[in-house]
Amino acid sequence: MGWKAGYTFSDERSPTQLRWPNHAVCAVSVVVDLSVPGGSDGIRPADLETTEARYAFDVSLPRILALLEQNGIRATFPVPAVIAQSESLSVERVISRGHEIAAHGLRHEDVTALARPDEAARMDQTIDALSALTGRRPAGWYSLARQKDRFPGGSISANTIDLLMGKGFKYFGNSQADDVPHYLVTDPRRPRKLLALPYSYSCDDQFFVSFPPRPGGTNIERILTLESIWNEELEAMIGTEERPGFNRVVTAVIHPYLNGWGHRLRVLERFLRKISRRKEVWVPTGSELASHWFSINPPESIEIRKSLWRDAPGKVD
Amino acid sequence: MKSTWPGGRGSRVQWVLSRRALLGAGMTLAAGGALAAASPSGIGGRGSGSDLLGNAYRMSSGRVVSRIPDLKWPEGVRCVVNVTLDYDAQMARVSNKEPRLEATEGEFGGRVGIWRLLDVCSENDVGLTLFLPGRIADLYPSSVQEAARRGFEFADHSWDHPAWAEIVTLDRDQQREHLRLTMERLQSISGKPVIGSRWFYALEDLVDNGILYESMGLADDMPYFVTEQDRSVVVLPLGVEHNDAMYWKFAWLRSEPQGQRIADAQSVGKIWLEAFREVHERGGYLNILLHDAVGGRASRVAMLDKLFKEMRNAGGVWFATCGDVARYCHENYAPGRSG
Ligand SMILES: [Zn+2]
Repeated sequence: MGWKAGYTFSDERSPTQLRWPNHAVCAVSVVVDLSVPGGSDGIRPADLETTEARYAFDVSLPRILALLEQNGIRATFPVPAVIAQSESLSVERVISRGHEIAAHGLRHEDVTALARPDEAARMDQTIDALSALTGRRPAGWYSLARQKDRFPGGSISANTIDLLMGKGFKYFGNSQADDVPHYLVTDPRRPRKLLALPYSYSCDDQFFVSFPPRPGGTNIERILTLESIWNEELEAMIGTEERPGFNRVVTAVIHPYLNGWGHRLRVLERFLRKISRRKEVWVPTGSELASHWFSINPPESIEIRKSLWRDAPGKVD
Repeated sequence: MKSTWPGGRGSRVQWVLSRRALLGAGMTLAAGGALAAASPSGIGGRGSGSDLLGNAYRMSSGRVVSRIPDLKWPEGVRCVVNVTLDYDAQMARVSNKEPRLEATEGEFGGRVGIWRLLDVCSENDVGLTLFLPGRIADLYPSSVQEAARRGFEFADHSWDHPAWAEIVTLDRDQQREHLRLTMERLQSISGKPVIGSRWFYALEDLVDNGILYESMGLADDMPYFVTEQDRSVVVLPLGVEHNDAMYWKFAWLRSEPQGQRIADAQSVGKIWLEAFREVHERGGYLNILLHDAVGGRASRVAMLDKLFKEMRNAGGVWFATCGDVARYCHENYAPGRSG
């Protein structure tokens, strides 16, 4: 079995001793996923009429935007193409506040089994829909999980990363292979690399609020655990007097359909206030984080060891 | 070379399957006695009753589990903590067919997490034992070499971490070959003999290859022996509640979303410190199992740093390697020895 065959990887060891802008010691990226629950093929028109979808766009999103503004934070908003089309007023409001719009699939569908031409066509449609609204091609592409997915990492096909490289994306938004940006490589014989931004389901609200969702789940509310994890990760990155920080990136992911009032909003408010006030923290958008990474660790600096791709001699599998 | 399973091929397969069932149920992988008790033929205590010796019992397979009554640690040691690390990176993820973006979490372990866990153990002078699939030395050679350079102990954790469906298709010769390859590979890096294993090999094969200890199962919370046909290994028991993956890995071994409750680091630290306090009071044994991919996240390593320091401050703690404990038990308490 080729352990590195057929999926995406990077170099053997992550770089250490990183430098962040403004003398910050670490970075926190705030990602607001603008999708709403849909079916296995993603968001259908009826899914935009549900109470939770209307709540997300009409009530929650304006509040979250206000919170971000109060704290001077620009976030990254992964937006499925169908949302850009149907909820264009909401998305325009996001753009006007200076946040970054990133692509998030055509309908936030599971692309695992799509044929390559089909997936490529959907990507083009997505790029077109977002470009029409924002006036520029999206720099980033996200494939975040849906709350009811079996695994929390999100879905890509065997072709997704290669297609994104071909379409000139600056970064892929959510890979779990590091807690700093890292390069994805799909073919060791070709030097093409795509930058991936770090993600961990342990900092994504959808796995802590009303999780697992009904039907089948019990809607357990554990957002105070999420708050604790956000804070713990942040403090571990910053460090203490006894222990130096890890100096890396925390990616906090929230969903307006799940967050926007009550205790959940207070948790978000506390965290945003904290990261905006601590001088050790840099809060970039996805694109800013990617640009900084290109400047400190350009793709040419990454050595892909051929040995990582070969099966070992004497293998028995 | 032709070989047969102990008790016939069928029973061996059943043995493996019942381990699988335990694992699937989210329970500790049980070696020896606990395992047989869970298999249909073991229920009812057919074997254990007649051979009950207070601290030993015989399973229907003939395997004898013997506890160590009044185990006393070396002079000055109040309790023992083994920190063990299953260095799986993405190997278990790929063999369990996790989706690509999920398997990238395993790469975090090999690229980032492993280094932090080596550091936090070095900094706290903790005698880490790494359980390694042999193939990990091909995927992440620098970290494996670094672990050897720092003097940490290497133990077997299969050749390529096959999924359960594949394990049951491997015949005895293939299993022996996997064990041999892994031991060879690890020994060539560390320059030291591999004397431990955390996998599903036949006890006969383990002992005949020089293995002194296993580390799965909980027939006792103190180290104990399992013996078959005059061959014995020490079992260094492991409670599932001391396995970091139970708190931090979503969909562990493909478990359903309904079972997922990702914990913050301090809650886990609190549980483990409580466990330690009881063990420290009693003069017991504690085995903490970490995984590079989940245990190596920043907040969790920071928690481990605090936990190790609190444990050390309690006094009289031997942060031994598994080999240290296994040798001590073999030298002083091997079954059949008097006293
Ligand atoms: Zn493992």
